[in-house]
Amino acid sequence: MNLTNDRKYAIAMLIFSMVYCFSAFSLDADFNPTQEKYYPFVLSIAMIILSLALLVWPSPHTTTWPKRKNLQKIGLTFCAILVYSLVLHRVGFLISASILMGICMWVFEANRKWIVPVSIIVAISFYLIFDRLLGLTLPAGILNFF
Amino acid sequence: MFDLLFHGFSVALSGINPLLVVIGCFLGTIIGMLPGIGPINAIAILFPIVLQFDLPPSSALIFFAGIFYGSQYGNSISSILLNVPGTSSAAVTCIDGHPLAKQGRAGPALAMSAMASFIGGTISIFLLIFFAPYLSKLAIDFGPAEYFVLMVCAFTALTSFSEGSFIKAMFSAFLGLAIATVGIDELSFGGMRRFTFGIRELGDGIDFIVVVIGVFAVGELFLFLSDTAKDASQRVIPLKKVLLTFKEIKESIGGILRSCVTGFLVGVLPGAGATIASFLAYNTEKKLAGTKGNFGKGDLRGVAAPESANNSSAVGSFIPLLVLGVPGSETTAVMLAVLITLGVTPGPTMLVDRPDMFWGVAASMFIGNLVLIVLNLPMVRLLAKILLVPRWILMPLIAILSIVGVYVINGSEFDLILMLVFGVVGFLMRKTGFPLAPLVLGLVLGGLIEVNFRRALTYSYGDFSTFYESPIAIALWLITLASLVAPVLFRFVKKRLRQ
Repeated sequence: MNLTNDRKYAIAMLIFSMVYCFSAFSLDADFNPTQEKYYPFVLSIAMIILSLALLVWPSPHTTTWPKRKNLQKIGLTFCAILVYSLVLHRVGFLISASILMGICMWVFEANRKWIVPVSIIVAISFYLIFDRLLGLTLPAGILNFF
Repeated sequence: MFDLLFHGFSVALSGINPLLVVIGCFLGTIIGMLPGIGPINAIAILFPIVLQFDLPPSSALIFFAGIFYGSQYGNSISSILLNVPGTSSAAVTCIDGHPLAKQGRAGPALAMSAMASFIGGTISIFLLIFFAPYLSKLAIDFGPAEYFVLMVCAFTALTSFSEGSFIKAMFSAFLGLAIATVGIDELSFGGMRRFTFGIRELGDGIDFIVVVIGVFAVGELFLFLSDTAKDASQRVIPLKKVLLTFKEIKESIGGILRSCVTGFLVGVLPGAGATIASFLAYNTEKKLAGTKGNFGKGDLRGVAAPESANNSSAVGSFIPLLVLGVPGSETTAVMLAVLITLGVTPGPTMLVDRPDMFWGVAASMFIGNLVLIVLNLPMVRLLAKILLVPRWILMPLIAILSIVGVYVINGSEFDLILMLVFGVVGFLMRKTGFPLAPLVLGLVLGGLIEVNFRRALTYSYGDFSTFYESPIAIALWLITLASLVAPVLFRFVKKRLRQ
């Protein structure tokens, strides 16, 4: 059997569906259609059948993965958002958002001289609009005198 | 009917609503115009912010509907001036719109697009208010079993009409349903926690808006980064007079009216949306014109037809949403989720229970179309300047806005990480050819499907025949079957014809 793109995805789908099926089956409830266990179990069986179906009948889809340089950019953006999420409460919105904005601008190939001023202005305007004008609290963090 | 429409106007014109129509239409035009951000991203990103204002459901819907149909006006501006469609439903407008712009006739092309959008949009509102009450009469006898079957029907139609592999589309739908089962079960007495894997934050379930922003906004950001396309903002074609001659209007009006009806009908069907509507309308007009047309090289009729169709299909897609409580597209699915969050119980009795919502939105669409024609005719030269904003400022801004939006829902860092995870999921799904619309629909309807499934079986004491006892349920199963068979049959016939 030829391992086409779709067949690889089918295997991933199958693993996911089986994990879901197993967790549904191990729920502590009666196996009764009106109880909390039955419905997810039915879903997982359908998903397993669909995964097997894709394994047997893959579509002619071919995936073109991004080039190395673009993958690096995606990875960097991912890490930037992850770090932002983790430090937001401690460091505060202004600093973390300026850094995130700066990294995003750099990834999108902005002119170097614009990156620092624009990202600081954007972070401050977002803070003023959301926190001060709309009253949606954004964490002040270490700059809580602002 | 007219007293109801009159009531609708009183809703649409009261309080903050007229302002919401204007802002929604304005934002919609801009969002439609900018490639990379469509109505669904915009609605998802703005939803957490709008939620903070405690708007009644009808006002929120008036606002988001404005964004949706407004985007169908704006999307042709970048198709014509840049040869890049603002949203996929304007892809077909590029075929004739951009050649026209290259010949120095960008003005007439934009004027034609605005006029066709206006006529298509306005006539389809009449169709909406004419047909919706008839459908709602059918929907009175719906119990949990029928509603469950109706949702199954919507799913099947959506997946079987979506492009690419049916199996993958179906899996995508089931993935959405599975994600919706995470969290505390509302139906059981104890409130059992399901699939939370010991993570406390997952107890409340996965907020659909976090998933939608992740999949669409963050996923889109990654998708943008994955190809090295050049920034197009430098290639905008300058604009002269935005005017049409009487002869040009006379030539196109037939096509506009035909496309309006096609678009509306396609919009009502679940699964088929504005993109299919515009392609269908364009091909029909091209065939009708035959050798007399200049289609593909810059024919105004080739701009008029798809623009009329995509606007009327946007209006048509409100029928399944507001009359039956079942969305037929990803954008209306997000709108349904908005309504659920605001406390509306969706279902086939929505039009009877909440007439203010349906008639208010319908009336606001008349006002919105007037606002949009003003925005898109006299002011289009000003608006087109927005296309000059470079991508290196636009994309990071959208990223920050969506991240702020996700944060303000619960003020939780966990939601941000969840958003990021779903951003990767959305990116991978798009790269590997899994459609996202079924996922969103599954996620939004998942809770309702389970509730109605279990409730129907509780009423029938576990007897499954409740799902095919009533004539309505049988009819719905037949439609489901037909929507499964139709695409297969269609492909078979096409193959035969080719041979």
